[in-house]
Amino acid sequence: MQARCRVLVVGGGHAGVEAAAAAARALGGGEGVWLVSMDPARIGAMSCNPAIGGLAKGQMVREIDALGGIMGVAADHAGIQFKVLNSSKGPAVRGPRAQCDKEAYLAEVQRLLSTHGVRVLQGLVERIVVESGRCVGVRLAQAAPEWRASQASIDWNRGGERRARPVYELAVGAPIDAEIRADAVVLTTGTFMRALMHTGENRTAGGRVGEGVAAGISTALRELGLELGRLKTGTPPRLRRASIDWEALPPQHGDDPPQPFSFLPAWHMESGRFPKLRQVECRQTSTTAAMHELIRANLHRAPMYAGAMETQQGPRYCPSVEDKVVRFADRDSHGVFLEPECLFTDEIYCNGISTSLPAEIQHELVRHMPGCSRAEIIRPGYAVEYDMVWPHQIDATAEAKSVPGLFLAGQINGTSGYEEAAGQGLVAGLNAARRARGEDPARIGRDQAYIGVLMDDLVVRQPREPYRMFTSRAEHRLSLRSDNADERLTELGRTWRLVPDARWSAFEAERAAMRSLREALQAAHIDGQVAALWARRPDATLDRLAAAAACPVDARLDRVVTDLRYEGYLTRQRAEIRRQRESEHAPIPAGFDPDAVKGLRAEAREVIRKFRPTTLGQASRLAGVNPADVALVALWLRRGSARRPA
Amino acid sequence: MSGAQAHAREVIVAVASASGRAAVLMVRASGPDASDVLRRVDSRMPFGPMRRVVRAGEIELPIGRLPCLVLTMPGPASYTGEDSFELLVPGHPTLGLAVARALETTGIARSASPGEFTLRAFESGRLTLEQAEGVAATIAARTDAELRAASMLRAGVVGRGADAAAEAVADLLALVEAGIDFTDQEDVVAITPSDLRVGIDRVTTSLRAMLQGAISMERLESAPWVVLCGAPNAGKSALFNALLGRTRAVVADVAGTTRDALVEPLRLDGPDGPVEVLLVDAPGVDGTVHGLDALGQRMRDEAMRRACVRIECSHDGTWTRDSDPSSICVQTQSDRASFRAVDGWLATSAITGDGLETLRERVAAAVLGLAAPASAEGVVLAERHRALLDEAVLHLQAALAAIGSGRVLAHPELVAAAMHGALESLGGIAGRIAPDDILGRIFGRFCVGK
Repeated sequence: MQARCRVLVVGGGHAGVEAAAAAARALGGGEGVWLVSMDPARIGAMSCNPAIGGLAKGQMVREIDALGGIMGVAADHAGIQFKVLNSSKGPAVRGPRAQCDKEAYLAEVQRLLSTHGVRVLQGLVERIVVESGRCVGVRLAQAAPEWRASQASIDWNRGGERRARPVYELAVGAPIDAEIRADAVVLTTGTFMRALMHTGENRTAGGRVGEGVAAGISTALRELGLELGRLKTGTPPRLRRASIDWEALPPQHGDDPPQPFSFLPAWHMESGRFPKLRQVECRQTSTTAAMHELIRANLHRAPMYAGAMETQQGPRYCPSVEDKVVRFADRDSHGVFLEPECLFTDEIYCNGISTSLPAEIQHELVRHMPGCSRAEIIRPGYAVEYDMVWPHQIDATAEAKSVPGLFLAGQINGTSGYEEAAGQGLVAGLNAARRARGEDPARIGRDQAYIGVLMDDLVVRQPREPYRMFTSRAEHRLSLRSDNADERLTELGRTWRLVPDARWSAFEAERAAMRSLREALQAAHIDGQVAALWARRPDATLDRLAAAAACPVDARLDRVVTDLRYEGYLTRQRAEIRRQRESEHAPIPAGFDPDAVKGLRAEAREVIRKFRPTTLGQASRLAGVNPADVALVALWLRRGSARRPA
Repeated sequence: MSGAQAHAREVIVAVASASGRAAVLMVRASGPDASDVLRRVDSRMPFGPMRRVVRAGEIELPIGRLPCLVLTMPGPASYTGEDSFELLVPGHPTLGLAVARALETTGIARSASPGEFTLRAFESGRLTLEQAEGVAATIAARTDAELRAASMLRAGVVGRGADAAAEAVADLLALVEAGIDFTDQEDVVAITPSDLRVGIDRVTTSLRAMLQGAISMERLESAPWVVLCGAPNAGKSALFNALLGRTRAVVADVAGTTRDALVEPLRLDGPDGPVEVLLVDAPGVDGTVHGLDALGQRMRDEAMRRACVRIECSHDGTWTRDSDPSSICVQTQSDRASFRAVDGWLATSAITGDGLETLRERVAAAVLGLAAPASAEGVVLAERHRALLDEAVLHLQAALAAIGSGRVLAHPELVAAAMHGALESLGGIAGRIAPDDILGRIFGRFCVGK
């Protein structure tokens, strides 16, 4: 018998999980949402560094949270060191970050997913089923066994005083048929599509150590006419903690008190307290001249330099230690951060020396770092190359332009990072659910969220390396703050049914409290000046404002005062945003043929044909399209609407 | 477009006549608040809703009040279907741009993007689609030509200067952005406030030098300014009226009567046909600075800056500090009994017409004798470029103000916002610098990445 669901999510990484959870919320329940994973016990795994958030990324985590997503809540439950980066700089560029216990994080993600009621299957996708130009399901390699959340494991994990267990377990029962029909399919293959890992001359097929490879999907996507590319990324070796002179190295502490990601109040935590886990410090060491010498002597054995990799397109912002030594030859030391991956295991992430040199060289290398003379490697670092789909082929809704019903999210679109993946997953899951319900697609603007900047950049630019978010990519940076993500998005999320009642009432209460605080600052006076105006002075202090408004010095006051201080800068920006909105979201239909537009320049026609912009806003941001071209396209579109019956 | 959006629309402004010489030139504006915009620059605009009329108006410009013809056309029976007006001004490109800028600086109007009037006309049903597309295609073609012209310009002096400034700003901005986006990287050392200040100062100085050494494109390609100068009550206004053949300036015996620069087109007969100039009556200046307020002073300076030919006026052959060797020296009031001719000065009388014909001939000869660019080193600037450079300087000043006095940048995001603004202004002349490019500069400079 043929299996049937509404939204099918392929992949259980950060994109897949947010996609499944968002689809479940938007559909009003997870019964119709299925998630297929090669290994459901690894759903929610952190493949690389043990941290969530950071600069620009922390803002995205809070946006995901403001839209009812999973990532922020999971990080709050699994965090073992919380730190706001750039805390000495303006509020717009502060980025919350949390080191996490990877096992606790994975367990919490699985628990949260299970509360959404999503059905989890184990399987490997072989084929994407398309009928009459629409994606209608997938075909798995074989019938898929079902996995279920174990209440015993959830109970085991609750207190956080012992090593966390994965929540999903193989369930007893008949497997689901290999051919699954769905109203919409979300593909989140991560680094697994035709993945190849390199450590020196050793090559292993697979996207993560000890896990498999998705070989068939690449071919299936090509057959659908999609243009594929290949990117690479890498990961550093993991060291055994007991083999490091841990106490001898300088410590790195988190913030005290720590600040959570989620806008939900702390009592909402499953454990009832925040932080849930014991807080720890990281340690700092560095590379040395001797280490650099050793790397230079063995460069020919690094796959990238030996020409053993198919792609040169690795991230400039995350270079391997080989690249650092070659590109910055005058330096004889780079910082390395030793970060615990788990409270209850010995594994230390060696942040700063991503490498694909042969394992035996790596063993030698790490011992050249201060405090590491006896260091043992638990798992060597490696480079991984994988297939991706050039993202101009999706819309900012994550739906493939040429295959309605097929959504792509995460590294498959050429991005890098957990947060970037999660943001796309949320957009894809939401729109897959809306597609299943026959609703209009949901779009998030560049002026509303980093997630909006991300989706727009993906569809109007050709990436030259895995795409990572930076605050400098956002032209509306001053308004896209981590502290106001709820104000920017929660109401919008509510209209898309992403925001459950509990979160909504917490938001409404906070909004009301902020409103009365603003009124209090308007009514109060300091030094004969209205407090709300006095707050803009460079020497204004929160203490005096709190005294004037008779309120505590807290995050809420800080946020309201930040709004006041940025006011002058934001007014102009808002006028600009209003002006752009006139045409920003005006849709360009799928069948749009630029040749039909009289007078459109050849270059503009060519660019539009390639990128197939779906809104006038996207068209205006394409390199090679000028305002007059946009005006012509706008006129042509009005012709369409004039002909359609009202 | 929904009604709500249409209501929120801004007034758009554009110089509508094609470039080249024309007797009159049109500046048009359209939008729900068109009446308000006009009222802020034209004191003669009556209160109440817009009515369909043609009347004389007077537009307040930094260099003085410009008489013009005003056509007001209330919506929906206008070209765009919205309240609109057209200002007919003497056919001089500089005046057209100055009027457009005056409308925009009301703060409730902005410059129209290509094809925008046509788009509005189509949306309100005033134009058929075919008509609208025809107009838009023409505009697109022209924009294309302008883009080609712009890329040629980029190879020129202005382009190179703006390019160099944009490069310098982008390099500094990369350092500021690195201090924001990569502070978790110990390899990144954020730029110090004092280094940043020095860098921005250097760019600002170079931009100012460009602006000061600049010759306006309009001066080269359009009617030259002939400016009457001299001490207060030297009889400039009487001469102005006499040359025009009608009464325009208020003439009185009190020194300093003319507070505003008056500008009028004047046609002269040259040996090869008519010569068009703009005759400007600058407010007089006397050594004791009595009588002139700051505004008048500014207008006078502006007139002097733009002057191609100066007519130095005096009763008795006394020079003022505005004179230069190329000035045409005119002795006024030859009809007076006390008149005593001075050698080298042309005797004239506004009353008898004595010497006016000679003066006309000499002005025409002086105008025709002007070599093309007055200074080879000077940068030729179009009014738009000047505005963009001015804007860039303002943004850089804002960046300096945001740097603050601390040892580290307390608000790099505000400094960066202002610097992005400067880059955007410069991007209107030089090539655009995208966020990816700033990131590239960071990656090229720092070892970023863990």
